[in-house]
Amino acid sequence: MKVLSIEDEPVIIERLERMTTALLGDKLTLFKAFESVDDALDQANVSEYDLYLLDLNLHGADGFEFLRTFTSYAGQTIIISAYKEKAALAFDYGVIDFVSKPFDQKRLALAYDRYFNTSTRKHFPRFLSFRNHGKTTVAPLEQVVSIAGADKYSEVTLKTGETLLHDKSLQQLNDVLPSNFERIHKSHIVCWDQIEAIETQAGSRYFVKMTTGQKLPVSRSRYKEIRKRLI
Amino acid sequence: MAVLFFLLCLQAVQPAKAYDAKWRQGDSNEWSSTELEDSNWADLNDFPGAPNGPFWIRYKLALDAAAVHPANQVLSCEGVGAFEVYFDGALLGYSGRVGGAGVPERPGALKFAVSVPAAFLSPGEHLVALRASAARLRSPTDFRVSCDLKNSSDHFGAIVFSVLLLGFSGAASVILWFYFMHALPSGRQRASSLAALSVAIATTILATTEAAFQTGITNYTQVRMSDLVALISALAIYFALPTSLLLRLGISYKRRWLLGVGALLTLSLIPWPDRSFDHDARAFLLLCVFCAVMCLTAKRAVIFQARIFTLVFIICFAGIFVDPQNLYVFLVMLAVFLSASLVDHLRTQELQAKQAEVTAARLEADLIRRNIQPHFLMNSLTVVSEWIETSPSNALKFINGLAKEFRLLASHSEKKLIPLQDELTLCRTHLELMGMRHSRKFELATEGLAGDEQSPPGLFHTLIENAFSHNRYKDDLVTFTLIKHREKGRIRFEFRAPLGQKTRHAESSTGAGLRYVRSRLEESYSRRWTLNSYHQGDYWVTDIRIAAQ
Repeated sequence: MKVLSIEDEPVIIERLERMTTALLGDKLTLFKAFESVDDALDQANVSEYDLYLLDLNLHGADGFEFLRTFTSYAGQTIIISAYKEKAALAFDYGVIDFVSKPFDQKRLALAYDRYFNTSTRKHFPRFLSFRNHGKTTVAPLEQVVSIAGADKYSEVTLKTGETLLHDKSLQQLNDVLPSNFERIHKSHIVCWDQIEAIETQAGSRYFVKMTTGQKLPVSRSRYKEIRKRLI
Repeated sequence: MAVLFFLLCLQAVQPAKAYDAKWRQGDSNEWSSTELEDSNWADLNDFPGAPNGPFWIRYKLALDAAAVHPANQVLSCEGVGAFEVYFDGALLGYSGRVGGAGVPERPGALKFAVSVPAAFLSPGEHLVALRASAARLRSPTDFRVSCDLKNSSDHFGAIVFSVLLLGFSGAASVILWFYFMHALPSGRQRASSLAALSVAIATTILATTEAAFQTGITNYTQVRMSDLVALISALAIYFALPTSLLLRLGISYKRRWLLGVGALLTLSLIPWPDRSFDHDARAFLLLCVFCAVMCLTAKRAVIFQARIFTLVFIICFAGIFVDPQNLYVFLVMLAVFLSASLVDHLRTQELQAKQAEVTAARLEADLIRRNIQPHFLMNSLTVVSEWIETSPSNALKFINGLAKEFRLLASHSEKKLIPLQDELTLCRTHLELMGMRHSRKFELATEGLAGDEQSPPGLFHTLIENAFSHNRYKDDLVTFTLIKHREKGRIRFEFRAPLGQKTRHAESSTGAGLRYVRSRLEESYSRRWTLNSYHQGDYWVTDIRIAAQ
């Protein structure tokens, strides 16, 4: 597991590294810290990291701006900040935990637990951030109809019919999405509210018809449960 | 209010009523007779002063049918010295004891009245004769005498009015003293305060003198003092009225305007063809025009107020011009208007003072709050937590530094100004803490400081905090610099913060730090300061200039 930390206080970086090493043990393959977002974006391949530990206030940097940027990458994000009042905003963008400063090892352990164990998460995003040609765009989650896996990435289809590519894999997105999103197939996640009908075709092939007109396959193992929930 | 009392004082400089009277040195019981031939007596206007021994004054009093009132009639008199009053040859009364051969003079009251029996009053010409002595008179200008036939109630009404004025003057003195003390700390009000002080002193002396007259005690020194005070007061109003307008309306070129007042006073000495305009009327007519013109040059911010003042001066001018006797009525009107204006001014000042108190409280809270802001405090606590676990000695050193900074902030926050050296200690403590946190050395260098400078609390501390908020320092040694420049008539501080690495994702500044700095400067150096903040080479420069008081 690779952890990327962005924090402008050297002593706090030391603290994060010391505790992360103690908590993750052999799971930790790399801990890399940068004092600024610019340094991290310039010097590291951010998408290679599994987890980002971000401080929201870095020398006047716009925390909101880089919160959108980092949640659009493949890795998950944990915020470590003095500004507890920004927690709600952070969760809206899909961070998996918000650790207030000052923190101890126990609190950091809880954050890592939320990373590894998705069932312990209490907060869910209201937005998804996307990077496209160096620019970050944001889509409200209520606009999302379905998500399809595309190799390491995901294709998100919006109500408008527009499709956006997200850096996170289908599994990584599934880990942060709320309960009104259901993984119906190894390659598809749908929003329950956007399912129009469920269809059966010859050869025990099952599909859901979405409000956008999309027809998405349902895995046999999930069909009964999905049909029951829909009917 | 002050002007009202100037005006009251002014009344005292009016000359005694000139009578077509005659006088003669010497003493004889027959000189009270209506039959006496006095054509060879000297004119009273040529009274030489300092008469040796008793002397007599005679004049004719013409009464028409309307003047002969059935009610009690009195001769209402005013005179310096001692007097016996005869009416058509009969002794009606006296004031004091007239001095003569072997008889020392005992001065009487300045104002006194003698009853005139109804049998004496008839339409036609009557003789009023005064047997008098004024042994201690030093100058003929000090001598005054008058006797008018009045209804007794009018005479006593005049005395009651005098007493009321006296009481009013006393109260006014207290108010003026209050105003003086109230305005004293403000440099802008110093001229008004000095004017108010001089009026207060003059009014107090005049009130004391008047009190002596009213209680029947008279002496020659008091008469001279009264005239002197009245003259000073008249001059004071002549300069105080334009001065107060200059200050009140913020009119430029104050010295030139005041020189103009002096020229105006000189101009008023030139007699006009119409003799009914005496010196006082001329002087105040000119002053009305002068003040009206002056008000017209007021700045836009106070133009409405200035126009009202102009209107009042025009009305006063018209009133006096139509009848010079209206001088006092219109000037009192003006005085009432100005006093109302002053009350309004004082209320505004009070309001400003209250607002300043609120601002001071807010700034005090601001200074403390900025140091317990989450970014500084929570990061500091996180650093302390780390050092407690890994390096307790560092933790202890940091906690001590943090405690020192909070103690300094707490002791400075409620002050308007602190020694600059204390502010520098606060800055260096903060830099030491930031140095420990960032594993770098931050220092503050100074140039040109004499050591006795003062500064609003947290001024440069805030600029340092601002620098940390907007820059990421990567050098091992970062030096901030405070330079004091010696400039004529002002102090100039130049604070140079090195520019660190900028972030591409920079958040626009809220400006809270500079707002605090500006508020503190305004609180301590009202309108006498400027602040400029700009980029210069490798530094962000904050240039603060404070004009001398």
